[in-house]
Parts: sequence; structure tokens; C-alpha cells
Amino acid sequence: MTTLLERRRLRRVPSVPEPTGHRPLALEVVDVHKDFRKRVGFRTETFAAVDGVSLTVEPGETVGLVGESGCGKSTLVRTILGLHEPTSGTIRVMGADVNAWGSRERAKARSNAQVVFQDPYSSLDPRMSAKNIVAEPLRLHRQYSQERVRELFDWVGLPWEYASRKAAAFSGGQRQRIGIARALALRPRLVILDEPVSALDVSIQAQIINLLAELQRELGVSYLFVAHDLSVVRHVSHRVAVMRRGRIVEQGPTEEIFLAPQDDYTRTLLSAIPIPDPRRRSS
Amino acid sequence: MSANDTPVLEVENLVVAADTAHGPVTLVDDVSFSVAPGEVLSLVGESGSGKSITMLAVMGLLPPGTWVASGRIRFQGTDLLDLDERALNELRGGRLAMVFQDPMTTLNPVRRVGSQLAEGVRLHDRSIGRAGARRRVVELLESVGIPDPAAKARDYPHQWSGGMRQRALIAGAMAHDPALLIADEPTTALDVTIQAQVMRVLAASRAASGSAMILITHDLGLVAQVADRVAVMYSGRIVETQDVYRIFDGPRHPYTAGLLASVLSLESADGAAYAIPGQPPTPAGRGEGCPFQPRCDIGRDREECGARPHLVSAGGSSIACHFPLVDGSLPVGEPLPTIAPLALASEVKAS
Amino acid sequence: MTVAVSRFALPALGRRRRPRTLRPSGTVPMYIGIGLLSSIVLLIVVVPFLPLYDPFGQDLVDAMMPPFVAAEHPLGTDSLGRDVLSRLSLAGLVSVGIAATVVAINFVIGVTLGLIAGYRGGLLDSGIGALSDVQLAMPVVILLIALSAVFGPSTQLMVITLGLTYWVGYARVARALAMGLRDRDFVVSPLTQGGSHGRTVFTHVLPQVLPQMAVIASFDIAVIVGIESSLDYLGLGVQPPVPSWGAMITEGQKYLQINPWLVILPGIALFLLVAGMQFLSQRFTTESVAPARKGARR
Repeated sequence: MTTLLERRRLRRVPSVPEPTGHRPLALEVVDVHKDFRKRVGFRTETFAAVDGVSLTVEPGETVGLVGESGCGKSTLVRTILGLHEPTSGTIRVMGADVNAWGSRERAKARSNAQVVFQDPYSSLDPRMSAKNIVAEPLRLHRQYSQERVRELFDWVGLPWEYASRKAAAFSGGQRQRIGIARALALRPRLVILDEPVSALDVSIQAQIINLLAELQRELGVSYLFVAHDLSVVRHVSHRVAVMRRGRIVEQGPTEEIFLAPQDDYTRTLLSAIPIPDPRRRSS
Repeated sequence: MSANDTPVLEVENLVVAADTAHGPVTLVDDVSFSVAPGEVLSLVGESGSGKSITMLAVMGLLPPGTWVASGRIRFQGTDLLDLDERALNELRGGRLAMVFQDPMTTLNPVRRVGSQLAEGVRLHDRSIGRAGARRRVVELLESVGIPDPAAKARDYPHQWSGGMRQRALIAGAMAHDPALLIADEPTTALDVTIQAQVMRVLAASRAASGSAMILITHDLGLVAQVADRVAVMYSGRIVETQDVYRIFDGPRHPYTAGLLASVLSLESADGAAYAIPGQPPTPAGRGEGCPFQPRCDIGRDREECGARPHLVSAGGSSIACHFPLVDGSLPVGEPLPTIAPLALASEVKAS
Repeated sequence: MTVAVSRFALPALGRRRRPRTLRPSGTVPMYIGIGLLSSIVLLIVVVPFLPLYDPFGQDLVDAMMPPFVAAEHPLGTDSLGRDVLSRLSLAGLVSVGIAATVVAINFVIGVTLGLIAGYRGGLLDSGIGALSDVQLAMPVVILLIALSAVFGPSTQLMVITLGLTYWVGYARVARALAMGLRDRDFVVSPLTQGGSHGRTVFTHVLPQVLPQMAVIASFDIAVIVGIESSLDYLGLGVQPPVPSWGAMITEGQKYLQINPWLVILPGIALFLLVAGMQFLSQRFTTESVAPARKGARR
């Protein structure tokens, strides 16, 4: 447990300059580190899951974060959401510090950043009705109203007749819609999508991707789209960051990354993706 | 097809049923296809299409509560449904091999990898002794690129990465030069760079032994790179079988066309992705007509599609549709070209 | 719901291959359990309304009557001439009542501590773990003897002592379940929306845990009745003249040669309760915990 003094010291001065624009960035991750301690035999080893990551998301844009398993993107997501405390570095959502000492600023930052999880089968409490799942965040903030829940259902294209059914009765694609509705309930400026379509069938993936794009147009919400599937990321993102072993190895506008990748790892990733065109066989 | 080319596998009118709370329900509804020696047939479909159950039926590994109601499954001429458990066991792992999706559940976590593979080797080769089996295992691991195979064989499965485990299982499956390898989503759980590596290993092993392969997958990119022929399943039925080049260029079934159009590839156009509206029917909710009709832009309002389309085969390809597409893929947002039902008749005559 | 049968299949779905049948469902044991328990329920609930009901009335003239002889004492009388059937009935009420109370206390303590330990982990987990170890090491009977020596033996003392010492089983299971559930997305989700840990555990983790705990609790009632009977046998629990099955067995032991029924009948009652609970609790399988799906779909 760190003492108060250590915590001050751990907030190192970031090398990335403070933003000067008057519109606050939807997300600002400044040189974040997150270490975990593992006990190996008699020693305790420190493992850096996130090793100095900086990235930004402007209002209304989608930033894709790609990386393979073990690169640290899930840890980064949880740290941004405030579920982990970063070992060092700052995370700001709409200008408010996610780990601020003042509880009001902290609450403001955290409710502005919501998440849609990957696995539609474990991201919803199977015993709760769809209605109550979507209403839960509203109830937590004393903002519950049935009209608002209906509106959310409407936004994500779920028929209100299904509202009282238990989550277990819905298909994968429908569950993701419920998850998206839940994430939008508190009107966040930033929605983190953690592999939102990788567990879905191909034809349902396209439906959900289209829904997300439409919602972004209507609501002006920003997305941090975390995925391992580069094809999907390319389709939805304005900018892309490639992550490997806790670090961002390359980031930039989508087309630049895909057409002219600078980093070897990015190139390896791109070349490994099988192209759905039999005339373009590599062997 | 010359007389020499007896298909390695011939599935004829297979029906697999399951017990549910509401009575028996067909999971696989009259499915027919064949696999020629040495070729790769890719079985493509989404969840609920019945592709995995079909393969489990072929291998004789249907879960409790499901059974083969009718049909034939001929493997190198012999009907597998006539064989008893002993004969099937002889076949499985030997001439008929399989690789599944999750190597962690296929391998016993409390036994060393080498010993499990050795067991497989000895099961199909009684003459080989313990030492011989161990040597063979090291050979196999080496052939799939596992570094330091002798030491690695003494590891437990959790000490290996997912890609290594799959490669080891492939080595084990290919150890006896099977005539047919069934690979059920072998790389779905792996990262894309590892997937490429595993597929390379698979291709090399196959080249060495001349095995045919049935690759079950939902990844159309993989299909394009690896398959010779493609069979598309929807709601328990085969809707289209075709040579891989032709199916990507000109799918005939509207579902295939929709599927291809909704794939987001590195090269797809920007803008809205094409999405087939609606969802596949549940096995119990399937009606009497074409199962795709409610979602089909062509057949939705046509009366003929209320009747089940027959699967018509010609050469190595087949199609089950009243109004198959004649000309190419489904453009995004544009109205469909008009189709001529006569095209089907001419297809049949050509055979 | 329409059943889809392919038009091309045989009219009656035949079987090309004998299917491996599903395991028989749990209804048979359940009915046996219900049957056994209903006899106990009858005993406890119906008997008090019979005109012969008198668990305390002594009648030394008619003492030690065997069962099935006299109409006003269908199961005979004990050494003091008290009606065995009535005493059996009241004893049942007492025993089940005690067991239910004890189990309820155990449940609340155990589940609370288990959930805290499993969900939180760290020092809290270690602390509760240590407490459980102490609890398990404690010999309850000796403790009760010691406490009875100080405070005098009584039913309340036994209930409190048992209630405070037998919670470890619940805690263990609750802890394991909580540990499995704490990283699940649907448990993490309310935390991102401003919910507190406490509320999350109560609304999302607890409902997943309750069904399994109910199974344990139902089985435990029978176990506690058994323990309570043994303690009564030692004179540590229910005090005379209030009957309990254990006390009746103790009493009847002395007269085994003359009237063995005084031991056999309470024994049968105990058996019916324990066996009934056993069979019934098999019915509640663990269907309720949300399944974890790893990796991509099939």
C-alpha cells in the first residue's frame, strides 16, 4: 500500500504537453504505467502490463486500439475505467481526472467513460430483465425514468416488447445491443468498446457495426474501439494505435497505418490477415 | 470424375435429430456433400447452421440426446453408421483424424504433452514400443516446428502457448497419414499471427501425407486462402457447394452473397457495412419452406419460396434455391439484378 | 411451437444409431424425498390436532405400553406413561425448529463472510480464512460442555453455540463462488457506472450464489438435527420435560429389553427426516450460475 507521499511522487511529470485546445479531449491517456506483482517462488516479480502508454481521443472520433492477446489492452481499458489504479500517469476524460482525489471530479470522469464488453454471454446478469439491466446505471444515479429506458431501447433497435425478458433469452447480437444501451444510459462522451463484435457471427457483426456508426453520428460520442481484428478496426476507426507488450508501437490516421505501416510488428500483423479473395493466395 | 476417384467421404441425405423439451427437432436437415481425396472442403456457416453437429455425426461423437435419424456416411466406401464402436475407434485418430478448436480442453491438463501424444501413437501402431513411441513424438514435434522438442515433450499443456498446443495436436492427428482430417475451427481461438503459423504447419503436413481436409470455419478469409471447394450451411441445410474461386466471384445463393458482402475485409469499401437483416431461425422454429426466406431480398415475397428448395447437384457443385443468382455478388445498397429461374434448368442440363 | 421435420426424412424419425440416452432427470429421488418428508410433516402438523394428543400427561398405570395395542396410545407409552406419538410429534417440532434456527444463523454468518473473503481477497480473505480454521479446530461438544457448566445447559445455549460454530461450510462455498464471479463482466459493469462494491455483491453476486447455498442449507438441516439429537443424548441441549428425538433415545435406552420401541420409533423419525432431506436436495442442481464462455463463438 503506497503512502500519501509515494502517491504524489508516482505522478511523474508527463513528457506529453498539456492540451491547449478549449474543447476538452474525450480521452487523454498520459504516460500510463500499470504494474502487477507476481509471486514467483520466494521472490516477487513486477510485471508491467501497461508500460508507458499515451493516446488521445477527440470528441466525436473513433480511435482503434489493436493488439494480440497479452499485449495489455484489457488492462489499459480497465485502468481507463478506473477499475485499476495506474502505477503512474494520468487519465482524463473530458478534462476530468479519473483518479482525482476529489470525489466529484472522479465521479464525473468515470460516468463519462462507459464500456461495452466483449462476451455477450457474460456481460449481462442472466437473471435480470433487459429493462432492468439498462436501467441499472440510471437507478444508481437517481436518474431513472421509464421513458429514458424506452428511448435507449429505441436507439439500439430493440423492440420494447422484449424488455421484460431475462437476459438469458436473447441472442448474442441482441445482448450486445442491450450492452450498448446500458453503456449509453448516462450519456457518456466516451464509450470504450472492448472487442464488441468478435464473439458474434459475421452477419450480426455488420449489423452492430452499423448501429455503432449511426449512434456516433447522432450523439457525437467518441469511441475507443479495442479489437484484435484489424479488418473491423479499419472499417470503423479514424485513427489507429497498435499495441504490443504494454506499449504503443505505432499510431496515426487509419489509412496511413494500413497503407504505409512503419513498424515491423504492424507489418507482420497486416500480412498475417487472410484476405477473402482466393485469387490472392500467398502460397 | 474418373473411376479412380472414390470420394474419401460421401455424406448422403444426413438427418441428425435432437431431443428437446418440445419433442424431437432436426439439427441437420438432409445434408449431402462429398470430399475427394486430397482436397480441402471448407464447411462455412454461422452459429446454428449445424456444421459442427454434422462433423460430430461423421465422427460418431454425437452428444447424448442427439442421434442420426437417417442418411449415409461413407468413408472410403464404408458406411460409418454400420460400424460398431470398436471399428470406429480403429478409424478415429488413424485414417480419420480430427483437430478441435480449443487445445486446452482436448489435452489433459494433468498429463505431460509428450505422454499424451505417445499414447495416440501407440494406439494405432501396436508394434511400436514405449521408446519407439517417444522417438516418434519427438519427430512429430520437430516436424511442426516446436523448438527443443525432446525437452518440450516433458512439459504440461499449460506451459505451452495456444499455438504450440494446436501444432502439437495437428502433429498427433497427422501422425498416421490420415485419409481425411477434420478441423473444426482450429485457429479461432488464436491470434492472427499464430493462426498464420498454424495454417502453414497444417498445409505442410497435408502436403506430406496427401490427406483431404474438411475445414469448418466462419472466417471467409481463411476459406479463400485454403479451400478448394466450399459448402455453405444455413439452418441445418446445405444451401450451396461450389469451387472456391467461383463462389467468391459469383455466389449463387442469396445467403452466400449476403455473407460475402457483410465480411469486413482490409479492402472493403468504406461506408455502411452490408448486413443481412434479421436472424437465423432456431431448429424448432424452422418452417416448411426455404429457411432463408424471411431474410432474403429475393424470395421474401415470392410464393415459390414457401416450398423447400431441393438440393440440385451438378459435378462438384450444388445449389438449393428457387431463384439462384446468375450474375455475381450483392452490391451494397443497390437493387438486385433480375434473375432468371431458367438458369437453374440449364445448369442441370449441363451435367 | 412448430416442430420442424424435414419433408425428406422418414415419417417417424427412426434411429440409425442407438443414441446415448441423457441421464435420467432428478424427479425420482425428489418424489421419494417428498414422500419421506411428508410423513414427518404429517407427524408434526397433524398429530397435535388428534384428541389423544398429550405429550406431558403422565399415567403410571399405563406405562411402557407397546405400540398398536391401545387406541388412545397408537405408538405406546414411555416409562412415565406419556403418549409416545404425541411426544414424537412435539419432539419433531422442537428438533426441526432448532435446526432451522441454527441453519439460518449459520447461513447468514457463513455467506456474508464467504462473500467478503472471496470478493475482496487480500488481507480480509486471509483473516476470515484464519477465523475459519480456528472454528474448525474447535471441538463443539467440549465447548458446549464447558459453556453448560458455566451457564447451565439449555436449548438457547445450544442454538447459539451451534449457530456460531457451524458456518464454515457455507463460507467456503460462498467464497469459491464469489472468487469465480468477481471478474465477470456483469459484476464489473455496475462498478463502472458508479455502483459501490457492496451493492454490486448484493445485487449481482448473491443471487448467483443463493441456489447452491440453498442446497447445502437443506441438507444441513438434517445434519443439525442429528447433532442436536446427539447433544440431547448427552443432556446438553433440550432439557426435560420438553421432548426431543435424541432425549427420547437416551431415555429409551435404559428400557431396551422391555420396550425397544422407545428407541426404535424416534430413530425411524430421525431417519425419515435425514433421508428425505437428502433425496430432496438432489433436485436442486447448479443451473443458475452464469456460464463462462471463453474465446470466440462456435
